[in-house]
Amino acid sequence: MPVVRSVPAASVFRMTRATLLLLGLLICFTACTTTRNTLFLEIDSSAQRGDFDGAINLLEENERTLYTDRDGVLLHLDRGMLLHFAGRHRESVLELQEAERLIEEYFTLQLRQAATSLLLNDTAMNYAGEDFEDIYLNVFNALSFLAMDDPQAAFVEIRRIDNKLNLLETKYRSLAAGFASADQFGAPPPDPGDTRFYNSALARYLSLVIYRSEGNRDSARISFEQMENAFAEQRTLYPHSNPISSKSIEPTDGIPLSVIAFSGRSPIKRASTLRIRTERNRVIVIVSQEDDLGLIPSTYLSFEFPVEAGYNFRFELPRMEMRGSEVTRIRVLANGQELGDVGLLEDMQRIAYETFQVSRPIVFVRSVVRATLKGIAGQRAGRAMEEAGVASGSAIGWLAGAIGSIATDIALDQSEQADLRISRFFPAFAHAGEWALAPGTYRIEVEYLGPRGLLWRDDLGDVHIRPGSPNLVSSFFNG
Amino acid sequence: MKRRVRLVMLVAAVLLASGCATRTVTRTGLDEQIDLSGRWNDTDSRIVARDMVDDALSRPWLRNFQQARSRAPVVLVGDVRNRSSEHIQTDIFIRNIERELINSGQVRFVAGDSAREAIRAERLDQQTQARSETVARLGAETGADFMMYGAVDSITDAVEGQRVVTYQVDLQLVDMQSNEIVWLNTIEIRKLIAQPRARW
Repeated sequence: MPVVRSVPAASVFRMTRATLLLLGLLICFTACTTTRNTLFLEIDSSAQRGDFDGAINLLEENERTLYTDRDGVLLHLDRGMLLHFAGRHRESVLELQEAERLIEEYFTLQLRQAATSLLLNDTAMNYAGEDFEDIYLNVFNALSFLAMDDPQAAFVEIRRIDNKLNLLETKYRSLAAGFASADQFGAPPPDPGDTRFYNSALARYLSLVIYRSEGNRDSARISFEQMENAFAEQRTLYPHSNPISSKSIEPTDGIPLSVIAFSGRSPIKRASTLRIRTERNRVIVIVSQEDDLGLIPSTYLSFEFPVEAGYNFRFELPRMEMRGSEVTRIRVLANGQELGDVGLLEDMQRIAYETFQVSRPIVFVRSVVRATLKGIAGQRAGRAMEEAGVASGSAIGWLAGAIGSIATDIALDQSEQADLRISRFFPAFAHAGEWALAPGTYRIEVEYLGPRGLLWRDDLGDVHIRPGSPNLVSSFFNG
Repeated sequence: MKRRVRLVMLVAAVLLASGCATRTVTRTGLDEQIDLSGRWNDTDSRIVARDMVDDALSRPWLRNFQQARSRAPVVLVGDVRNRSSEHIQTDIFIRNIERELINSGQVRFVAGDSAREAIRAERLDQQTQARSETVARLGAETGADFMMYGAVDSITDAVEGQRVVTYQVDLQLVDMQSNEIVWLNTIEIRKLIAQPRARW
């Protein structure tokens, strides 16, 4: 026979008021990132028109809205990339170096933030950068230094990439091992996967160009071989052929002009909503996928977990969405004469996707465990409030209990958000090509063509082709 | 009630402890070794410059030159290439070497190429702008007997949270007339940089 204990309505009301206040704060705190992608629409649009200075101004005007104190890496990456494309290389280098410094600093997890993120979501932690961001920031710094005629500093950046690529392969393996050993809930251990990205053809090509300009033939040859290895050993990331031939190690028929053309936009993260349902000692993760009949829920995963049956709550996971490019062909002109097309050197968006996939199992397990524990605690609290309201025997008490219970559900749903933070202004593709020219000054233009013709013409102005210089120019189209 | 008071006191203590973290500035001696990030810093630059010059000046080339020419050799410090994976300000390192060389009193010293260019431009300007009795003569520079140059390389070995960086500084002294390398030295600095995975 159930025992019903009478609780004064006023105490239920006090409890509910305090709970509502707390939950209200939770909702306010967590609602800030829900529209991250839409907040950038205007800046994205300016960048796509090639108005990078305008995009920088917009970003700086709205800095407080777009970035929290925990998003320093993103702020400096975004500003650094826009400054690079605006041709403001010195400022760009400073921004990207600051992003790199913060990425290094945020390697150390702040336990205070981790504890908060355990209660809320991953956005409560400092954004420490995705691996592809950490690597490509050095690529763009190298290009900035080359644009500032400082190949020695450019080479420092290339060496930094080399060190980072070496580290990349071991990074997630140890992290995943840590998660697996700390797994006390019987949840599936995360598979660290194979990063498969440990050699960048783009970075190797840049080092080839610099070594060649110094007359260091052996090192140029080694860089070329490493570039070939990137294609041969990472077929998933480099399914295309290398657009640079071995002749580029030591061209004999003139001074090589190297052109790197970037197109498209790097991937962004979007939220996928999943549901968790519990059976006795079992957690079932359900994903709803849309087809012609509407949303069809299907069991995604289930695992043993010490839990009662009957709980049901939602949570979010980030997924990466490629934005690609509408460019189908890029051709280079010198003094109005067509030199030829640049070929795909590195599919940067695919590399971003692959390196993100490595951390995905870890994010998944963390989110499921957090959502389950938080959901159970929250729903128990909600039920207790409802029962207390009913037990009070008054209409006000019943209402307060019911509102408290509903508010708990809303707060839990609101707080369990995907971390959608990612930099927005890296390109999707890197193309490269080389042409041997006689020493002199050439007006170089790069044309980006789509299925319906010319999309963008990038006039790089007069370029001085001279021996002993890298003679490398880079171009960009954000579409 | 007591529990609630204790809880309030605990929260207040935590807030106070976290609120006390203000910036402090302490002046330190220039000789004091301070390593913050683990990167190449002013201490490395100073120590390597001093050790290199001490070594160079203790070798036979100096005595041989003094005996043969009966004067102190004139030395020029050329380029020190940065082949490391850090943006090292090699011009500061070069200044440190120059200072150690000059202060030793055992060699004479001529300005490096960037300073030389500026001085030559000024000297040319004097030919038309300055009073004749104060004009510095053209073609009267002191030629260097030896040139010192080199490179800074680094090798990095890293795993999660730990990094060993070995800096290798190579310098050599070359006889300007014969291209003979009369002295060379290598100094290595190894740094273990450990970064905790977590902190409060």
